[in-house]
Amino acid sequence: MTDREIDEALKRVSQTPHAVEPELLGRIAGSIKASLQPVRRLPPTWTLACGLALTCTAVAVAGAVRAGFYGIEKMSLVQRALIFPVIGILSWVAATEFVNTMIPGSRRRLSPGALLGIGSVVLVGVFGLLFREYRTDHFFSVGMVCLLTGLLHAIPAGLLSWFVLRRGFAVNPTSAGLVAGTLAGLAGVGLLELHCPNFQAFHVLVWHTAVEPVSGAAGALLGWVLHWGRGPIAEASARRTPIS
Amino acid sequence: MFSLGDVEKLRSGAVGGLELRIIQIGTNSVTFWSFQANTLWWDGKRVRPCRPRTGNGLHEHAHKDKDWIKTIYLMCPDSNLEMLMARYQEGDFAAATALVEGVSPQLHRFFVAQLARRSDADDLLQETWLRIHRVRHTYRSGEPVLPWFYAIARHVRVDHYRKAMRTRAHEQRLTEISTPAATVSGEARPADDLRDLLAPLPESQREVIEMLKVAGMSLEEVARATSTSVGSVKQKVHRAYRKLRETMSAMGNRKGQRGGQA
Repeated sequence: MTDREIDEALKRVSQTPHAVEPELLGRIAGSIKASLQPVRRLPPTWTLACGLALTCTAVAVAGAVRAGFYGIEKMSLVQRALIFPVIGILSWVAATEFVNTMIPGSRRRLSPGALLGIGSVVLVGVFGLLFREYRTDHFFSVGMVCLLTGLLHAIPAGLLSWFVLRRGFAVNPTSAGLVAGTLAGLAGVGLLELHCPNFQAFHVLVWHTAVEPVSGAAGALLGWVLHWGRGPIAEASARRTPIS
Repeated sequence: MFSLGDVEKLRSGAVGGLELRIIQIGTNSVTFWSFQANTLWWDGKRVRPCRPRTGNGLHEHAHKDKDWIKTIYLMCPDSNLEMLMARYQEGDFAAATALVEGVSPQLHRFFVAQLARRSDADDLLQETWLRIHRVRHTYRSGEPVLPWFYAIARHVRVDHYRKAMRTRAHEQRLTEISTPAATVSGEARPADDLRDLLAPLPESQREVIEMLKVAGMSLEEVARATSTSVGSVKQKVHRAYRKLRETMSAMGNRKGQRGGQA
């Protein structure tokens, strides 16, 4: 059996007409007609991605306004010039991917897992390059405060991102949650870089970077729970809205 | 070439012996599609011959006249689904009906290829159109429409699969649905042949083969529909073919042995 023979077998099958019951098609068309109205299309990807990036920036800056800009004030020019553009680029990529996950049939350049992995590795690389103070004081206690602060700011960033894309449709809610969590986590990392004056290398490498994967995992879990985990509720809801 | 006076003739498809489809009638012009020549005619001018379906097979022509739809998307050579979808979004029931009639057989075949029962495929088709109708605003003009349909159809199928798994866990009826190639009572149908052919494949490979080889989508379109990369689609196709070769060769050998014994 060769590939050509398989191709021919598939071609034979594909050329055979496949009929659907006309009554079924009639029922579908009838149900569509009942609620057929012009709809407002979604804006272009770049517009939505700009909205998401601005939202996350606003959350990070608002958090820093409340908590203080101690981190950025203590940074050198090189640190500022490298850290914030990198977070900005990662946020833009995450925002674009989030838009793509919320529009069925969109072109995907990165899988959600790859986005999370690449984002974490890039952050570790940049932080490892720029922070050289290898002393550690109160590693866990101070680190947990930073992690929680980042995550607490990731929550509003995630909620607002969901609001921006509320008209989208996630064909894979877990992936969409993962990407949304990654984006929100980057907002949390941005806030920590603006605010946290602790430049000990291990603190920044572990606790600041951890905000992104933890937030991504939380987003994925939330997406899974909201969709797949609500089995009986979804079934009851589907039974209430049958196609007539 | 053709003028507005020819509209009635165009409607009857009687101009120049060509089979024609009117796409849009404006205040002073008409746009139509010639099936035999695979050509779009715009304002009486031949815009361009449509290439055979490659890539996403999409041609875009912008027009500034406000009486016209601003952009016509023509998917060649066999359909203009993108344009119908745009009109469906604008609330055109005729376009919606044309889409239902045009796309449903493909989606139905997609479901039948994955499932054992035709009645399940009917239910899934209805559910898919319900979702399509609810989220029709998420389709964006200029994007290929088939991946959009198939992405939603996949979502519905996965939902159904999970629901079926839960039901089966409760009812302990494990054997009926779990095998995609399960026998179906009644007369064998072409879709059953497809299901039997693809039965040895895992679900992810089966759907890719169905979209690529049966629905006639491009690699790029399949990648969009399955939310993966083109490389991943190629890999799945490669593995699927290897598996099909092995299975079919084994079946051929068995038949040969039986023939020898007889």
